[in-house]
Amino acid sequence: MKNLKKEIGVSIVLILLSSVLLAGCISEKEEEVKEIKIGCIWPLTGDLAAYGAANKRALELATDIINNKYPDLNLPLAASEGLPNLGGAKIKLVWGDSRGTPEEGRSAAEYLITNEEVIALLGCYQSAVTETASLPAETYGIPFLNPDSSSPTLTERGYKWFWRCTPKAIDWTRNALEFYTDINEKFDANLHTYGIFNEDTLWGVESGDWLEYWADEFGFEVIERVQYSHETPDLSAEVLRMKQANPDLVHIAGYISDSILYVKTMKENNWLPKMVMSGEMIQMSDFLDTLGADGNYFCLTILFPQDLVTTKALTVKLNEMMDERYGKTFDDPSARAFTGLFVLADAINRAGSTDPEKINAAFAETNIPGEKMILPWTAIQFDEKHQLKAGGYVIQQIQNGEYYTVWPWELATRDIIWPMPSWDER
Amino acid sequence: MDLVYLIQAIINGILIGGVYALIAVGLSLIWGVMEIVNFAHGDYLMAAAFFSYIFWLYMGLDPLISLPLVAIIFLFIGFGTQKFVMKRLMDSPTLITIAATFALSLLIRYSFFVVFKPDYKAIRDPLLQGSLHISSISIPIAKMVTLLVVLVTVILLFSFLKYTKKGKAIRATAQDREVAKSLGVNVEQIFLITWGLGIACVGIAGTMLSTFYYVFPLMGITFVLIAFASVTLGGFGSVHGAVFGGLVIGLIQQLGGAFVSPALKDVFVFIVFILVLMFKPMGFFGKY
Amino acid sequence: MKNRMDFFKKGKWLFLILIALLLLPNFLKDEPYVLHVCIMVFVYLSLAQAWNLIGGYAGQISFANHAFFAIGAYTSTMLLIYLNLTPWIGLFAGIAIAMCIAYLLGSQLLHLKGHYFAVATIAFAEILKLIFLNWRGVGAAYGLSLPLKMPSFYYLMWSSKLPYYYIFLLVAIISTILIYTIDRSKVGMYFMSIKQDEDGAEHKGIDTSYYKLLAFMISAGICALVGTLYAQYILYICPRSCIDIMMSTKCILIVLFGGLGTVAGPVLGACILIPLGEYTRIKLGGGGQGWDYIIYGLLILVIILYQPKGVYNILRRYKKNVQKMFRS
Repeated sequence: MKNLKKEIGVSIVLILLSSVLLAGCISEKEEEVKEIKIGCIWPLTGDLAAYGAANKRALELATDIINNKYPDLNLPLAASEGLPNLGGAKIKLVWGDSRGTPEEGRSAAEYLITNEEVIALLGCYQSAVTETASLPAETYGIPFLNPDSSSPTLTERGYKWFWRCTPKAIDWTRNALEFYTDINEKFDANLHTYGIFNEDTLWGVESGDWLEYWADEFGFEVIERVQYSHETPDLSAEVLRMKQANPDLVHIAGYISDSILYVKTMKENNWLPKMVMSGEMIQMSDFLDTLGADGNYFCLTILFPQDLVTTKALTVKLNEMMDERYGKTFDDPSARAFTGLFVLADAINRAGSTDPEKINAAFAETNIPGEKMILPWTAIQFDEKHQLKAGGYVIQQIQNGEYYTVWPWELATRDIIWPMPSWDER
Repeated sequence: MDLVYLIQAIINGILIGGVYALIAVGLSLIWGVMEIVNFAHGDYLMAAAFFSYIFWLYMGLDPLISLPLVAIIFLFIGFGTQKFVMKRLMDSPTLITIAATFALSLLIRYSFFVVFKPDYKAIRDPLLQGSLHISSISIPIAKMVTLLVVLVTVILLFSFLKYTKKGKAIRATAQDREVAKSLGVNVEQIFLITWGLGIACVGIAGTMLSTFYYVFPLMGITFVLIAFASVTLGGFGSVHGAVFGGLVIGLIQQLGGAFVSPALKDVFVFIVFILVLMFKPMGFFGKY
Repeated sequence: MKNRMDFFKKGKWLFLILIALLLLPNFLKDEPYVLHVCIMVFVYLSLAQAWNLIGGYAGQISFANHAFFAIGAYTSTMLLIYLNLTPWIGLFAGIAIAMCIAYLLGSQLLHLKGHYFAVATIAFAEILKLIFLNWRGVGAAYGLSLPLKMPSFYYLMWSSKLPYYYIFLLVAIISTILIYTIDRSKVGMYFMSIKQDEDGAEHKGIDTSYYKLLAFMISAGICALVGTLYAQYILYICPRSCIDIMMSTKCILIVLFGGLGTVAGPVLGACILIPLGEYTRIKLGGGGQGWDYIIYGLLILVIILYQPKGVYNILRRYKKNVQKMFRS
């Protein structure tokens, strides 16, 4: 009998222990506060954490602008305190760490929806993460706004609650090929062969696929396509392969660190094609910080060209504010995340309520004019697939350690230096 | 088939193989003498690269200069690992020692992760820069010097093991612990020295790595698997086996990448690895 | 008499715990995140029991659990997407393929000792990952998105977490009962003698190759089953998240922590380590920042250095001590 009592004791202790640990995962229910909780999911840790950090800064600034009075900023909701149609309710950002993986992104989304009871989600930069993180939103009926993933699949799924206010990979890949076609015309360059490096997640593969598609459409020939893992410590084999194929043009669909490694490896191998193009990630300061003069002459497709937007007073002002507070300025991904929050807040405000259905409906009516955003677009409107209607890419080139818009020709702030000088010529 | 292409691929293979070799040497030594698979080996590598980076960042020391310093620090870190952690596990079953080194791996890796964040860091403007260009063949100088450092280290280590008294004691212990004990070898001390040497090797490898590669907390993961493959190929316990293994693995990786597909370059390494395990598990130079 | 009394006592407690687990979701209807943690506990419990079989009982250190998990997930998902086949049948296909591959792999590699085998399984899993990453047929890096058909019993898909809770609980119970049965059977004894001393076992006439292979195959089957169900839960699989060595590592750590070669070990390990990891991840600084792994590492080191037989052993000793105290 005594043994039984002891067994009871131990079992109870065990069950209690597990329950306590489990209970720790249940968050305390907060009291209803006059605030609009928005879930933000980005890689705060993991190897893409730099993007997460940049976005965090941008969104904190955006939140401050929306929640307080900034009458001299021509941004939606800046002049008022909070959201006027909801009695001045303030935006509160609740962060979830995607850790750069689809699983964590999805976990974070679920947690934010069910425990934190956010009324909308914003995220996630990586297309693969956005794909899974938007699943719980679709299941639970919470609007999900994606300001920075370009995989076309995301809006092809036919989701009801998913919205995207950034152009798709289909667009920038097309812009890249249009650019080269123009180069052929302008310089009589006779460019024909194309080589692609793409990293091995959803984004990289899709980018590569669309590049191939448009290359074909525009009459170029993709003679080498190399898929790689962006964690690989060494890209010698990849570069050697491409050097052997020796295409006229090369595209790197990767992230910042692999782009840097590619440049270094190409230099080691003393090889450059006539032009190497990458994406907005090489706008991050690490690129030139690490490569210095070696980074010159590379081209990039970009939505937020610093030199163009500095002709826009609004953007200049905001860059100053960012610099003042954080010692950093906007880059392409954070500029889009920043804009995303305004699009979201605007929709919630027009909905006049925190009812997801109403907010979702309000998205469809979004119409933010170009002068009310820091990006150089004409307007933000959604098509029937919940995809941003306008918004084009420009091509920049790095010259003398600065980024200059070189295409479309009518927007260029400097002439392009064509072709890229080889390593010996520099 | 392009001869230049082939030669470049071979050179790439040897250069990266040198790095793999040095990492493998440390692993092989620990494995051979104590039958411990150090799953944390890649993370010690990462730590060494970080030390090198920190010395550069705060004291402006180029990795070549901080090399001996890092090597000595890691010698002691190796001693410490044996003394405070592995000592009690000397007679434990394999699983326990694997788990112990795994736990160490997590601790080291994620401590650096928490402190340094996952950003990729690079040493700018190291002393070793640029490449040698011989017709159309390129040999990056940093990697070439790394290979030299590797060779010097290996020769020193090899001589130590072959000609000095302590070295012979280490080899005796690796061969048969009980017999060595009965011959009067202070086996405890041998374990300390072996860990020290093994980690010092990885300390050197990490420092050299920082001259041409990124430093970030998760970098150990990729290297440790290749190190395992190298050690297995070469045969555990054998220093020259590890060098052989590292170089061959480097070659397989680069040649496979160059002639079949870069995306699958590691697949070739792992396939060879499994084949070796299936048909020649003692490796080419393994003694035990 | 004494044995039956013991069983009745133990059985009573197990029964109560089971009732508690069955009723728990009703209290957690508004806490889907906690339900998710429970589901993850059941998932890892099953995977850990699978590993317990090959590693804890048969003594072969396999790092291939996550590979078989992925094989199960991919098989059933491919069948679902391309043949519209219900996952209830798909899961058998997954198990079958996983067991076949386990057979092929095991027959070639199980003769390897200790760490050689471990490292070989790591290599196998990496090869699998690289192949899947580059094979368009299974989606390559795009991964596979499951077509949304909830709620549907036929397609094993629901919006609510409750059905998944019960399904994974069932799988966890089945795997534990399986291990329990093996533990008490002759086969289990053979496994353990192989672990203790393989050569000795050979001499005693035990066909070690056969039994090791058997353990490996059953282990693979369980992992594949969990894989299929998990794909149905998570609705998107891709090589990077599905074939992740941290999954196998966690299984091993769970079993070690809880108690190798015991039935209750993996249960304890999963119930403690998984919620701990989740809790740490949420509470410590905007997403964890790796603290959960640091804690895992510390816990494992502590357990290994001070009580390598695991938490279960600690509890047993506690019970014995308390009993001793009362007798004297």
